[in-house]
Amino acid sequence: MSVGVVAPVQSAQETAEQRARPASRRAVRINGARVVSSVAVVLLFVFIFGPLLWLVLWAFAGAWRYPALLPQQWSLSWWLKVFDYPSLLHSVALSFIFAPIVTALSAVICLPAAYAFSRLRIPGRRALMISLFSVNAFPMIGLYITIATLFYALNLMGTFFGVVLIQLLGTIVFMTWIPTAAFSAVPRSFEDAARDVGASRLRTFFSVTLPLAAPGIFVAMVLAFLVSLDTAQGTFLVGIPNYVTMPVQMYSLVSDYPPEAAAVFAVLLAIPSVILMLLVRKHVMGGALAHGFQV
Amino acid sequence: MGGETTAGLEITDLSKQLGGNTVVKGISLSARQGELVCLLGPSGCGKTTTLRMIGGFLKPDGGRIAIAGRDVTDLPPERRPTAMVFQNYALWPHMSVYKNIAYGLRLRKMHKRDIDERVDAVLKMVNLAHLRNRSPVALSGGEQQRVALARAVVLEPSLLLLDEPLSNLDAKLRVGVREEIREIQQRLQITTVFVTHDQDEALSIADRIAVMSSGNIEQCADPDELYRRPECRFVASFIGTMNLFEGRVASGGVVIGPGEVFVPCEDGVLSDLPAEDCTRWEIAVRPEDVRVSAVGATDVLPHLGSVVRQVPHGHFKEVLVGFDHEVSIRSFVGPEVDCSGPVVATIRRLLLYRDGALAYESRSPQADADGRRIPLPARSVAEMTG
Ligand SMILES: Nc1ncnc2c1ncn2[C@@H]1O[C@H](COP(=O)(O)OP(=O)(O)OP(=O)(O)O)[C@@H](O)[C@H]1O
Ligand SMILES: [Mg+2]
Repeated sequence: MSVGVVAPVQSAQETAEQRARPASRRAVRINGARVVSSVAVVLLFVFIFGPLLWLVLWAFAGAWRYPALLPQQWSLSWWLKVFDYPSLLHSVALSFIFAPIVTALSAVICLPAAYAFSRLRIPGRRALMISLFSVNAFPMIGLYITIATLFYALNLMGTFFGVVLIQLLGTIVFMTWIPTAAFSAVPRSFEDAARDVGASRLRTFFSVTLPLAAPGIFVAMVLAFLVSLDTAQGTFLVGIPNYVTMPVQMYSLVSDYPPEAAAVFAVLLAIPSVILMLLVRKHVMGGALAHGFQV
Repeated sequence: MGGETTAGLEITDLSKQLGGNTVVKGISLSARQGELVCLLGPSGCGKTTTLRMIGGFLKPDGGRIAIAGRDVTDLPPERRPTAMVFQNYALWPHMSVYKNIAYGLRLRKMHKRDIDERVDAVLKMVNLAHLRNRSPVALSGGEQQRVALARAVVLEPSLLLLDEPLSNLDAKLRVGVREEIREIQQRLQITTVFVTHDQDEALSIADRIAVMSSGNIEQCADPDELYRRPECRFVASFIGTMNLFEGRVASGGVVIGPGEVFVPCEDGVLSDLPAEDCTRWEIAVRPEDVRVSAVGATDVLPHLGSVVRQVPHGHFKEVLVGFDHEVSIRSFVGPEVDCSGPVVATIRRLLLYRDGALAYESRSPQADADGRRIPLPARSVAEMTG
């Protein structure tokens, strides 16, 4: 999700990766299968963090001319310029107001649906879940434009609630899918066992089902948070000019300043994503179900 | 029915359809207070379905269930006085051993001190006091099994339900744990329904066994009776080892198979039947009811056989005696019997079935001519075949 933000700089990143490849190929031949997997991991790592690293370098570059591997001059001037940008703090604050609201609302709407999908026998369950997927299957911009006309009719354009709704849209799919999988991964017998010793349905849900599905739900909520932070197009379309969030701000920043400033801003944007992703990783790995029983 | 206040469990005409099939077909079963009844049957015969109906996890389509004299048919699981040990144990991985066991007590709003006391007592009973604060994820299969049992019995249920509780354990552990379960069940006098597809397990642990086959209870009897006197052909073939032949009764013996192989019977075995009877029977003979004796080379008898295979089992051996026309009889004989030459097989006891139902049972040869009592084979047979 955060990758979308750094899209403009991706082509330059590819050349950096091509440089890294031949060396790793040699390693594969030397040590065989076990090395292949570690190389794959490294490549993946480079693929994910390479652009970020490149971005960070740009953000601190005073001067950086081809073909040097590192900038010839380091500088913090772009950071100062960005921080001086008049509406920056406001847009950051706004982003962090929208994100929790969108996340919470998405959870309230989607989690009961996810539970129902995984536990109740709903006719057309599969069709419903696939139709959810279709929201993300096509370019969002088409959907946004259709929705914009609807929002005009409903007087939602330029409103806070309109922005929440448009951001919510992007979270629906995985906020339903991931928790559905998480609920489904809780064996029925765990719930039966709770009922058996005297817990009501509700009690069973809160003391067995929910805690065991929690890591998956947590992941989905973090993703929703990130989507809200990173939704640029939709927020731009609906929120402008009243609600300028961080990614929307970036548009004007890119047009007003050279790429170094955009890099600084992109790094700023990526910080919450990276922190949250690391959090998710810890939780997913630490989940009780991930250990599994050796029965 | 209403008058029997001692009934721990009373099932009447219970039936259930699943996915268009009638999986349980109107079964009735009762267990006395403190009795352990096994539901035994091949895979897919409806044991789990029956047990889940008793526990309240499935709603029966017809019939009633009463526990300790109270009709529970319409109650949800949390309001039934039952406790279940699940096949996969279903221990909650996010709670410690202690919390797993205490959960049901906490729901009953007991004082923390009383809960601690009861949990510690039950942990001691299953020898797991040292694992009190472990996560169940970090337990061996046998330990998990005992935690599941502890979680169930700590609630002092009127009825304990066990669904193949030993099927995830290795063979050696299985024998140990089942004895433990039996011991605890008898000590606490909990009425218990124990589901298994392992007859060895059922024969060794149960007060009574209900043999199920495709949704029906074929016979419900104590292990000895079940072994000695299977009421239908299915039970005869399912429990223990059994020689089963198509054949008819002739003078002094039976005639087996299309090849008309004559096998003599001891005196009295057929005494209540007309000597010549043209009825086709299903003849059932336990291997220990076949006496095999060696004959001298000079004897010329029409019904000689030879041992085609023998498996030693220590204090006895299992032999397969072959006759003409591919007829063969399995027998358990003492290790001293000489099997090298031609042999004669004599039937000492048999059961006759017609249309699948028991029609004739020869008098028990238990008190032998020489006073030797046939060792009751149920357990040894099961061990051998299992
Ligand atoms: N939800 C269901 N829908 C349709 N058929 C089912 C369902 N659950 C069970 N059955 C069928 O009902 C029959 C009895 O199932 P049950 O689980 O009671 O068997 P079982 O005796 O416990 O077998 P096992 O020893 O293998 O556990 C099986 O043939 C099974 O296929
Ligand atoms: Mg079963």
